[in-house]
Amino acid sequence: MGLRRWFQRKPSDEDLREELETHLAMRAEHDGSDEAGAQRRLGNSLRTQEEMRSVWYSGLLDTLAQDARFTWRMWQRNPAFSLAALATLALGLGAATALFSVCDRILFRSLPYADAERLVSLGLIAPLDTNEFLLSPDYVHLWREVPPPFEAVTTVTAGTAACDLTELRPERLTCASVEANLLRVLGLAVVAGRDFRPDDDKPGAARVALITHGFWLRRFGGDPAVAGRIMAIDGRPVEIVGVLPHGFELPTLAAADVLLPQQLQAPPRGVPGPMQFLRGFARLKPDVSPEQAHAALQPLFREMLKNVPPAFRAEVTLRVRSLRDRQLGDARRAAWFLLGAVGTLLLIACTNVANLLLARSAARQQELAIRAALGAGRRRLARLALTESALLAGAGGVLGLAVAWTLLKVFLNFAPQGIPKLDQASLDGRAALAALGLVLAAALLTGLWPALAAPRSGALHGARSIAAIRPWARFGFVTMQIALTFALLGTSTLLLRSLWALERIPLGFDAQQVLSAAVTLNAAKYGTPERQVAFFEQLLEKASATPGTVAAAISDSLPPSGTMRSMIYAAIEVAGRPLPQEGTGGMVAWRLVTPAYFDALQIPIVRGRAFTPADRSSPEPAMILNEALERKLFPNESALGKRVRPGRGEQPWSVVVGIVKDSRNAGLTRPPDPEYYVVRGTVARDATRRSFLIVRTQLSTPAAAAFLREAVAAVDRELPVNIDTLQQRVSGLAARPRFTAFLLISFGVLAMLLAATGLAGVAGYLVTERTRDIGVRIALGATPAAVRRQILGEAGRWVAAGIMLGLIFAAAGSRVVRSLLYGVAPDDPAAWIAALVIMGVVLLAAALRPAVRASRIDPMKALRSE
Amino acid sequence: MSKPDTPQAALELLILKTLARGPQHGFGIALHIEQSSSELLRVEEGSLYPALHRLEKAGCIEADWQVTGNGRRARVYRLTREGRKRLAEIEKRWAALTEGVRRVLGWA
Repeated sequence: MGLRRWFQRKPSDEDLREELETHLAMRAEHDGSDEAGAQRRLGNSLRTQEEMRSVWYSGLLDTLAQDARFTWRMWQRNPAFSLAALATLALGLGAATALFSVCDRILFRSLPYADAERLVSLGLIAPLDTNEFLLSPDYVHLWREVPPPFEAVTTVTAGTAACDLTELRPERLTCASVEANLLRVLGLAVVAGRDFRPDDDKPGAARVALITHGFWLRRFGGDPAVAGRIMAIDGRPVEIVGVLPHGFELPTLAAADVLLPQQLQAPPRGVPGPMQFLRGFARLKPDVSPEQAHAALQPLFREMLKNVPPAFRAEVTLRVRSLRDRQLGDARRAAWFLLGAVGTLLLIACTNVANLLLARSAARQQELAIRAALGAGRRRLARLALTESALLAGAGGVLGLAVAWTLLKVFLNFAPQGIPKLDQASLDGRAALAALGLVLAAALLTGLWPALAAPRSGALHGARSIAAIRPWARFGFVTMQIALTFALLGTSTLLLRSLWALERIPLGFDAQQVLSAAVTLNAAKYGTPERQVAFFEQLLEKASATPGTVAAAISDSLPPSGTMRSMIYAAIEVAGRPLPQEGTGGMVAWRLVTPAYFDALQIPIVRGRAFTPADRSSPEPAMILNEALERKLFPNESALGKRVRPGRGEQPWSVVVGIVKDSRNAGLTRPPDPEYYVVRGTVARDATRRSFLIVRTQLSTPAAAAFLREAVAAVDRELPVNIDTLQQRVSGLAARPRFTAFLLISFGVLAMLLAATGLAGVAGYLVTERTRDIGVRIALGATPAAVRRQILGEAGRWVAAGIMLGLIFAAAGSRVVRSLLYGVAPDDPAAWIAALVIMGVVLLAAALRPAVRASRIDPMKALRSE
Repeated sequence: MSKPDTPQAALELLILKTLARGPQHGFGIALHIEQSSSELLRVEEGSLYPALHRLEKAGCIEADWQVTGNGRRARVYRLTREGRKRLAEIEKRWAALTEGVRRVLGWA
């Protein structure tokens, strides 16, 4: 019955053989003949057995299992080949999986918000800031109703503040201020307690807070009843109302432990009140694009412009862009570039393995032809080849996961700031899926050619059995490998040169032997300006007295980048001149520093003098300009002695007492902005809660850091302080180019190794194929050197072809590369020549061994063998 | 099962009919067919065993290993109930086919 069929035991190969043997024995006995006669009567035993077998084992699964077993046996017979192929694929697939994981968060994965593609960042663009912003008075008055293109609008106050948990176990936290509807607009829900309510956002309402998941676990042990608990922030009670979901990110990507409602003040129009800098975010209605929203917001924008002084209006524009763009915009190009590079590496790895497979099937031509004669059709052999490459790719993929895991750990250790969201990269489900896709692609790439090269049964009688495989396929692979490798290697040398240039940018100050300590005072303990000033004065004294200190200073900001105070150029009054009428003139940076600042950073004084302690308490404020500002304010004259008043009439006139050399203040690569320095006095007006202590020291870093920590602790034991070397800060700015260069070089070196082995393999095959010809030439008197030259010459021709092809690839990709380079053009000859030389040397060395082998061919043996 | 008018079908019919008489191993089936047809039919041994296995897979016959008189292990086949049914069907069809051929050839 049908049921019985399911329980049928399939006869094994042994069973089938035994059945036929029994038959033969019985036939021989019956006919009275010998086994041979019975065999003749039966016919082709093997074929009969195959036919019997195919009754039971003809399903796809069965043939695949058979092929797999065969492949495994072949690998065991040839461990060198299988290990080489496996290692190559594991490296390529592992690197590709790891890179995918890294770039996934930047390029593909949606942001952790509901329907994240509809979220946009919006606001005004002005010389004030690189990111778009909104001013709170405008926002409160003009954005009360949600503008038509959007479903909802929300804001986050720019920047985060250090706040302190002033309880039994004090802790330094980071607080951010957000609008009450933030979670709702983002489409997220709290995991405990409740979200903010509109009532919480009213000025003067009871203070409530949302806490992040990590903080909740750390501080409250994940207590589900945390909602309703009161904690003391900066000395004042705040009620926890809810817990944010795990993995929550502010749209500004700022890290925070606690979210507080903004409680924006809404003074009536015309009445000046406190102004906050906000970052605006909104959810677009379905089918509305950011461009359409931009156009629809024009009337509102014009209303906002009315609050901007007329002279500046031309420099203010509106920007609406996708949230993803705002968070990751400039990292995306680097990410695509890296993906392209690793894809190239994988391609090279696959061509290497394909070449290996082709080489092996060239050696197996006779065996394959016999199989074909026995009835394995061409399709069957092709399937066998594909099965093998699928198994190779699969095993390579599994090993590759281990490689990827290791690589991710290496990345995290090596370059935490190099690529955004790098710390979130992990081998998750998406990476596994990507790995699977890569494995399939690799299987196809490596198996396609050998599958297509499966011989017809007519190949059995070929005298030159190796010639059945078209030779140009293998040469073509090698040339392609060389081309891709050259492109990779050349690009890495470019990146190296770029990195070298970055690290040699003149800073305008000396970052060696300088430590910086970032200090933010506890708001509760240092509530008055007097206490803040007193702290920093004490700190400066203690730091100056620390052993090894050459100079110590306090500044409110640190070069070469970071937030700085800024002033609109047009707002700087010069005594005896009318104010400029049109435009803002751009932004001018300024710092509040103590006199030893220029000494500590070794910023040269060009003219005039540095600040002196006397300046600190002088009634007439002293000011120092950098050369760029002097050129701008006083184009044809010296600025020394001139009287200047930044801020349009709010302060007494300052006197310019010195001019200093420009130092980088807008990042590593941008030219320095005009800048001025104001001496930090001892009066309340100059009080800040947050400042940097800068110390130039003669000691080594660990020793100096220890002393500094002591100095801070001597003034306030509980104050947390971050101590860095200035050199670290500066290097950190080059983190991404360094990371990119490191990866590219690794890929380039790997690719070169693969290309070298590929070339050696093909050259070796060439020698084997032409053994007879070479033997004849030697017999006719060719010297070993001539033979070597011939082989090397041929190899050299492939290398040359590969290099030319590689130059074409490089030219095609030069636009992408250009955006990643600094101080170097994509066609920089030195870099490409260096790559050429390195590759030429390595590849010719690889071809040397087969060439030497060729020159040692014994002509007698060669002519005899066939 | 093979198509009705192929040589494989004829072989299958003969095998089933042979086994209807009682269980038998492959050689025995071949011998029986030769002897019963008075040597008119000579079984192509290379096709016999594949046909046997096809029938076995289709469920018409079952097989067991048994030890023969000479101490050899032989695979002995026997008809299943399903096989008996199929045999009856095929016999009927074959009878119709041969009758038709006979009439066309004018051999009534």
